[in-house]
Order: sequence, then structure tokens, then C-alpha cells
Amino acid sequence: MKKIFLLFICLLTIVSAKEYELGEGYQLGDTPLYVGGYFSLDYASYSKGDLQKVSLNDMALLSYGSYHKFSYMAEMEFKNYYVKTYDNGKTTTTKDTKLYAERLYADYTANENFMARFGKYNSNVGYWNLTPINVLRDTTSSPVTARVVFPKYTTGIDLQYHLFTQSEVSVNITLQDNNSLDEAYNNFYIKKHFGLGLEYSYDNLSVKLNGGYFHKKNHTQAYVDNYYGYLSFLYDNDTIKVMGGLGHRDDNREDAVKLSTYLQATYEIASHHYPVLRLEHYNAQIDIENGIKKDTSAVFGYTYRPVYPVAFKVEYQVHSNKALDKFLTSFSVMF
Amino acid sequence: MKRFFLFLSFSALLLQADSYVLIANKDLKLTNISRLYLKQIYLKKHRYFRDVKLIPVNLDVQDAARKSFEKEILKMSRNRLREFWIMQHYEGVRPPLVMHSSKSMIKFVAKIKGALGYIPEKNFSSQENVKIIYRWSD
Repeated sequence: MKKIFLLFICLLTIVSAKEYELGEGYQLGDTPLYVGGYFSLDYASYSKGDLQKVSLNDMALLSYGSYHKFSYMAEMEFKNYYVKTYDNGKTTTTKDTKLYAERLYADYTANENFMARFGKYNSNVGYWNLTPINVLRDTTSSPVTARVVFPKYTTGIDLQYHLFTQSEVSVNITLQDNNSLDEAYNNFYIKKHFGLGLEYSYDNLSVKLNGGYFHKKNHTQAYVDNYYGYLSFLYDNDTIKVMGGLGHRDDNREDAVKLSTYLQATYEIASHHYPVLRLEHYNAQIDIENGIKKDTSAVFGYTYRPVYPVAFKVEYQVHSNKALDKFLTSFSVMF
Repeated sequence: MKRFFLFLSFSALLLQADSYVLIANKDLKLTNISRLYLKQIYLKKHRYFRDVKLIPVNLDVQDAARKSFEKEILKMSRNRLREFWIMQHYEGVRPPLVMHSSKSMIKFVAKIKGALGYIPEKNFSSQENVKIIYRWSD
């Protein structure tokens, strides 16, 4: 409860600041330090049975700053802080009041080419994984691909090399050989992660290829080698954003994702109004959701942003497995 | 005769077009650059030149030079730029600093080694410790 109180004090400080603009954070005095945050209130209604869920999710505080060639980022978050589930007349409420370190890292930029990151960070794989929070996404849900192919977070080092000309070529190396920080927060329990990424960007288009290995704890608590490959792209201009990803993960046993892919387009149909269409497919040897291993789906979404950092979203998912059909809506804010 | 009038009108339009220059500190070894390179600098994707930290500077939101810069160089609408900087806030990256006049822009760029800024060409004075590294017009 103390933590919530502290969070709200911070919020009040931010919103009462004179020069504050919603969604851009607040500078702490004349220091090079900034604070901000975000939260999301979600509702889901599943076609299977009579299942509904309301949750106060992703309640986080950001703090970052830079000094000379160093910078840092700290993101502390309550995940599923409050979840109320209605299941065939039975109501259950769960609360997870633990404050997790979602990201906690320091950067050192040596020059125009080299940068090193130390700590816990979003794995530099694909594009969805780099801005995974609800308010910055175009849909309330995330594609399955973003959580079954590679570890969402890495606790270790990320070495980056950038070459700028008319276009940009980047290479990044991910290294983890230690326990993860707040590992329960990650999509996989991992102790090792070695990855290589190659990205090419030209103006509004970026394409990325990632490959890697990680040591994942399986259901028998043993750590098993996993290999993944992931191809992704992002095109973004004033009115349309198209992104996609295609991945494969294998552990040479039964725990493989043969193929998982998505393609999403968002179009700004009028100022503040964004219809979204996402197509997804996966084929796995493991249960991805509700015992289902293979599925194809379409997500029809619509987002209204009165101002960009405030999002009202609705979406309906149609799956080849009808049991997975669902309606989602959310209200999210970045401050 | 028609052609003559068309030529005259076109010439008049050209004469009316405002010209702008991107200035940098004279000690910064950055010379002729491309539009896309400049865009990368202003979106803070490219933050260093060799080992010098680049400090891109904007003029006020309503300034004609800024409007022209966003349209001709960044080729991004104001809304999209706002979205972009909100996304960057999540990444811990801040938008460029803002100066309120060409005069203060020139003074700032002349003083700080990695600083870059744009001004109307007519406000440029070669006596300051700044140099032109890019030109464009509306």
C-alpha cells in the first residue's frame, strides 16, 4: 500500500507541474533526470463459457536520465495489480502487489558507432518487443508471436554497432549468463541468452533479422537449450503503420514452436481514429493457449486517442479455434 | 505571350520562396550532409558524430523555419512527431532543445561544439563561430 501511495504522490507531482505535457514525462528541476509512467485498465470477455475479466494492469513508473556518455532507465511496474474474474457466476479477485523491475539498465555510448547496455532490458528482437506497453501499442492484445519465440527480457549486456550513411545498418549482440532480474516477470525462466541481430533501416522502413540461443527452464524444472530465429519489419509514415514478424523456436525435443507469425496494419482514418487489422498464425508442439497448439486468427481493432498518450481501444478476435474468440477493451494513459 | 506570363509568375514564386540553412559549430568536423542523415540527427537516432555528442536544436513550434524543417527535411506531420516523441519518452530519449529566435540559435550553436540548428538564410552571419552544412527552401 505504501508503494501505491508513493506512486500517486509522484503522479500528483507530475500532473501539477507547470510545464508538463501529458505523455512526455517531467523533468526533475534543472537536473537531467526525468520521470513518467503509464497504466492500463483492461476488460476481456471470452466466447468460451461465461468468462469475463477486468484488470488494472501495467501500472508503472519510469525514471531516466543522461550524463555525458552515460544514461540510465528504470521502469518499476505492478503487473496484474488487480484482476477480477467472473467465470460462470463465480467471482474471484486476485492482487499482485509486488513491484517488479521491468527494465533497469545503464547505457554507455562510446561514439557514433558503438553503444553498450548493461542490466535488464527488452530483448532487442523484432519491433513489437521494443514498445510492448498497452498505451503505445495499437491493440490491447499482443500477437502470440511476441511471447512464444524468444525471451521478452534479458538481464545482461547488449552490445550495439551502428553504421549511418543514407541508411542505417545495425548489429547487436545480446549476452546473458546469469540469473534474470525478477525472472517471474519474464515470459520464460532463463539463465542464458545469446543473440545476434542485424537491422537495416531506410527512412520509414526497417527490417530486422534475429537469431539466438537461450537456456530455458521447462516444466520439469530442468534447463533446456532453445534456439530461435525471427524476421520482422516495420513501415511507418504519417497515416499508415504496417508491422510483422515471423519466428521459429526449437529445443530439439517436444517443446517447439514450428512457426509463429503476424502481420498488422494500422491506418489513421481521421485525426485521433485508428482502425487496426492483425492476422496471426501459429503451429506449435506445445500448448499456446487453452490447450491449443495450432491457430489462425484475425483481430479487428479500433483505437481512439483524444490525445496520443490517452488510448481507448476495442478489439474482437476471430480464431479458427472458436474457443479463443474474445472481445477486449482498454483504457490506457502515458504520463 | 501566355508563356511569358507563366515564366514571370514562376520566377516570382521562386523569388518568394524562403531559404533556410542548417548551421553547426565551426569546430564540428561535419560538412555536407544528406537530408536523411539530418533527419536521423533530429530524431536522435544518430546521437554522435565520431565521439562528439550532437545537440540538435529546434526553433519555436510556430516558427516558419521549423514548419519548413518538419515538412521538407523530416517529412513528418506535427501529430506524427508528437507520437514519435511520446514513444521515445518510453525509450528515455528527449526531444531536441528549443530556441526562441535565430539570434539565440546562432549564439547557442556558436558556443556548443556539438550543436546544430536551422535559421532563415537571411539571418545568417558568417562572422559568428558557425558554418552552414545544409541548405533548403520551401
